[in-house]
Amino acid sequence: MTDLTQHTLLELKQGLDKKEFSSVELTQAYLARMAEKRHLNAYITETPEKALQMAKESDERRAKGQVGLLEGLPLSVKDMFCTKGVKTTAASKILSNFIPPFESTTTQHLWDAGAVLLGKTNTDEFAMGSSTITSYYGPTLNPHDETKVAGGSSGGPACSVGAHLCAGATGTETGGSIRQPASFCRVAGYKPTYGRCSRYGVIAYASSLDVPGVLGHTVADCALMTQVMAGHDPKDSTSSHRPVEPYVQMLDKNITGLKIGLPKEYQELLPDNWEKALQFLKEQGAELVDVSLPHTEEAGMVYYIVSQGEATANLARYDGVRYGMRVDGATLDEMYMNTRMDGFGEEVRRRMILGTFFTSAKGYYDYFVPAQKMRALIKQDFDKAFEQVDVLFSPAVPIPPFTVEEARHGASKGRFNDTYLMPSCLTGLPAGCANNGLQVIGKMWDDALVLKVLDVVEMCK
Amino acid sequence: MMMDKKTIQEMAFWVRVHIPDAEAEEMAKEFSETLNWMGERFKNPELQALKPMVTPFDEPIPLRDDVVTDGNKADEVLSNAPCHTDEFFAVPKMVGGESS
Repeated sequence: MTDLTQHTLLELKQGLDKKEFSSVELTQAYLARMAEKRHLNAYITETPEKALQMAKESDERRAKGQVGLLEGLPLSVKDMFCTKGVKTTAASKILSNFIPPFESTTTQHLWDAGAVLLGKTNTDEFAMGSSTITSYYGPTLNPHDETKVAGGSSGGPACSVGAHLCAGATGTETGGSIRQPASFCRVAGYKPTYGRCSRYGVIAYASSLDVPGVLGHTVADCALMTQVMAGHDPKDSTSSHRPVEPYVQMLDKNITGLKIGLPKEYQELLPDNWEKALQFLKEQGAELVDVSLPHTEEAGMVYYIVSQGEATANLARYDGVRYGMRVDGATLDEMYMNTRMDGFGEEVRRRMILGTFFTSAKGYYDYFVPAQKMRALIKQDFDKAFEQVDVLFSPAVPIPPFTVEEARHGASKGRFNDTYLMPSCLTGLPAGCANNGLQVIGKMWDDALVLKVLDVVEMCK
Repeated sequence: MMMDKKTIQEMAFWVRVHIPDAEAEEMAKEFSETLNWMGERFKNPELQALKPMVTPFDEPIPLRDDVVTDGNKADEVLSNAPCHTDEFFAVPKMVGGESS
């Protein structure tokens, strides 16, 4: 292998297994490339010393025959995951000095499997946005066109994969934040079923929506990382006891007889590869069935109310007392006010104000509860569709990436940015985007099937 | 529903952030339009019979045993505190005299 950074996670795993190179050599190659591509702003914090130490330890374990599923593979971690002893900011000034004394469960699973931490990647502040322009550390650029954004909120993770600055990445999704940047950066992104991966140690945005997930060069890479990250965690009461399936082994490329639903509401704007993809799926033996998800348009509104209502509660903890930055004031209230005004960016402050309205006596019964009922209606749409089909298929984001300036003028709030992504977030369904921008959505806990179909979809270029 | 500047500023105070008059005015105007649009959508009769969906998690959530699993980590707990004295978080004085 000449340039080690230009390979998929599974190829690198094989290379390490065959002893073609060591984890230290691989990690050094990534660190050099990260330095070369620093202008893309994929990482908030690089951890070269820790990475080399972890790689060295991995090589030592391998020499003793101890080989985990991700042994020696260098990964990036979105700066929403708490990493013990490594600064974790959520891309916010308010956490710019926060060094967690604990590790998130999902990242602990990665290290237990032998992975190496290269650094913490950029995101919109508290994952609120879809362009990384709300990051305190500035926007992440698109690796394929540096005049454009990488998307968001997992823009740093998507760029770190797309620019070959890591072998794979963790991300989080609340309203499309893995699949949208994956689509913009032409990488694969996977959001597991809500409850499949523990949220413990993931900085909370909207707790009933937040899902830890992955981004990789291929669907198979995503399958391997998901397999490692998933599993029950007693520290997260909404994490499932269901056994984790061997997702990678289940990628058998066989979709013969599978019923694939095409939601008509997700076809208003279609990418160039759409017709070809449909033809390809038919050739693979799948049966294509037209379905309808009639309340798709309402999802944006429900997301707006639910996510902001939950965010305002979650962000109450940043008070300048226990952790994070403080701006002094003469009284306790003045200190709170000064700290939160200086520490939070404009978009976060705005969402907290609106979220407070939705959860106050004035807004709760007229807006928050009806939004939760509408959420149930959106779930019913999916339940009905899944009576007819096994999975759903559509474009992820049918628009090209926009520039930073366009994002600042509202492009990231545009109609097609997340229309096809939000409904599956509200309903907790497993969903992923292949590196050709096409997505598959499945039933709750059907992660293995979604990954398997995505793996086939990915073959259609 | 019409949103006004006063309500926006009241909400801002509840989350302990400040919003200038002009910005609050603009936000109230924009938000009123959004609320009206939402209000129309929520008139959907299909919603009447539905239970509010609070989480997508579809498994029972058992209660944990009521036992201590952690503790004696004062140093770790205080390690990120902007200000502390001994084993206590320190904040500006709330009663009786000058701030600390």
